[in-house]
Amino acid sequence: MLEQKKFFSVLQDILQTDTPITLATCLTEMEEWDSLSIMSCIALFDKELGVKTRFAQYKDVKTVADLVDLGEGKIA
Amino acid sequence: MAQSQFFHAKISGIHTVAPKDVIRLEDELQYFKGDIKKAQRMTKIVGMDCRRVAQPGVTPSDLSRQAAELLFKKMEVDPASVDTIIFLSQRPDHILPATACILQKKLGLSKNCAAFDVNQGCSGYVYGLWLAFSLIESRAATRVLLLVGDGMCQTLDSDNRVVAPVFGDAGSATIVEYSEAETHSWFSLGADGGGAEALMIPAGAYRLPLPKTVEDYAAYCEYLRDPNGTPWRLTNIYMDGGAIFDFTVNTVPPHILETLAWAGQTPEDIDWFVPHQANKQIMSMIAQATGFSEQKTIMSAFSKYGNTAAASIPTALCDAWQEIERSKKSRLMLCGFGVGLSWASAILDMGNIICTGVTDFDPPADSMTQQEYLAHWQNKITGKETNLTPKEES
Repeated sequence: MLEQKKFFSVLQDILQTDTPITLATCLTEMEEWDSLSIMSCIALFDKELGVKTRFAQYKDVKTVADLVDLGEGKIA
Repeated sequence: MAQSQFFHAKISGIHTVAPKDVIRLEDELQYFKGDIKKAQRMTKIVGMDCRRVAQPGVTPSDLSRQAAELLFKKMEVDPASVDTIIFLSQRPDHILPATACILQKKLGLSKNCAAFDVNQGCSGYVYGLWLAFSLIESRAATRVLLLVGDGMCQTLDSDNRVVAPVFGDAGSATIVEYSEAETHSWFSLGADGGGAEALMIPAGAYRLPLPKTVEDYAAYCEYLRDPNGTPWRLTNIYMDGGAIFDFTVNTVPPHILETLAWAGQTPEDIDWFVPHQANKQIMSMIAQATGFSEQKTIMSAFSKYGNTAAASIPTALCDAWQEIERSKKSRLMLCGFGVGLSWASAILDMGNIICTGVTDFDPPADSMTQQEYLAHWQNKITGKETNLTPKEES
């Protein structure tokens, strides 16, 4: 399990942004939502949640809420 | 999966040569829209920092040749005693002949020496060792010189920020010999050509040969943009980073665990784990998934030399050799993976090896620039005198 607040803070660090992250944050509008960020999320989900995700699954991710969904309910 | 054990083959020496010019990430802000923070993010997430890039005209075979010369000197080995030379690279000097044949002459090896090239990438060092160990174990050869030199810098477009700042050049030399005393090593290799297009130079060999007219070249020079806007050209490297990453994190850890189990070993039995230096994030994920602690996983070469493809494992070994030697622990696991797709692991004892680290490339007296080499061929074919006849072709 990963606390949502903690996840948002890690994501803020990955995206290198000062703007606070919310579930509604649109990732596809952010320049730093790139392959580096996806790679970091795959590593984070694997390490912290034990959830294995693949690059291809991130193709449909638009918002932070979509990202949380990939965490299979383990981000709360 | 090819799995082999050897009992009388050993590595007796290894050396790596890297180009002298160090390029730091902060010198390459053109890839990061001039923003140092974007470059620092790259360092933080994947560990990119410095890389070594060869001058145009300096090939992986030049770097490997120098590594061999220095190794011969250090080991006091007579070059004439080598009976097999293997040059393993994705960047041979020519489509033909085999670069190993040219190196036979340049290195002063015997004419009775078997010489051939192997085309393999990031898994290549382990593939090459497996081949060398097989030749030694079967007594087909008594002293194999394995030259593994690579680097994708010349196959990249400088405005492709996905791949351009990642790769570096390096060349290595390894001597594999027969050991009267029993040794024990395990090798496990695999491939999956279903992923071949994830990492490929599509044109320039014979599926899409170099065009015969200037007009026909247009299609090869055209920048093709992927959905993310990244520019690619057919004669340069194409990489689907996501596919490669998925392959690596899903295929490589099970392969490592299977190899360990087959060899009856655990990560605790291994003193040093040396993965292909793809990037820090990938290496960490593999180490974590297989139970190797970060302390025994050698990852530092990526930040110093970049991803040097087939040469990355020998570069990492030579770079960390002092630390390995000081630890007096010599059971190593090497693991290469990538283009092909292909992968290979080896578990072997690397005690009592002569390793002289990584040295800077010092251009030899017979070096030629690309322009000089072009002029040499123009003159040679048209029957004009050329003062630039390279030694190996005289």
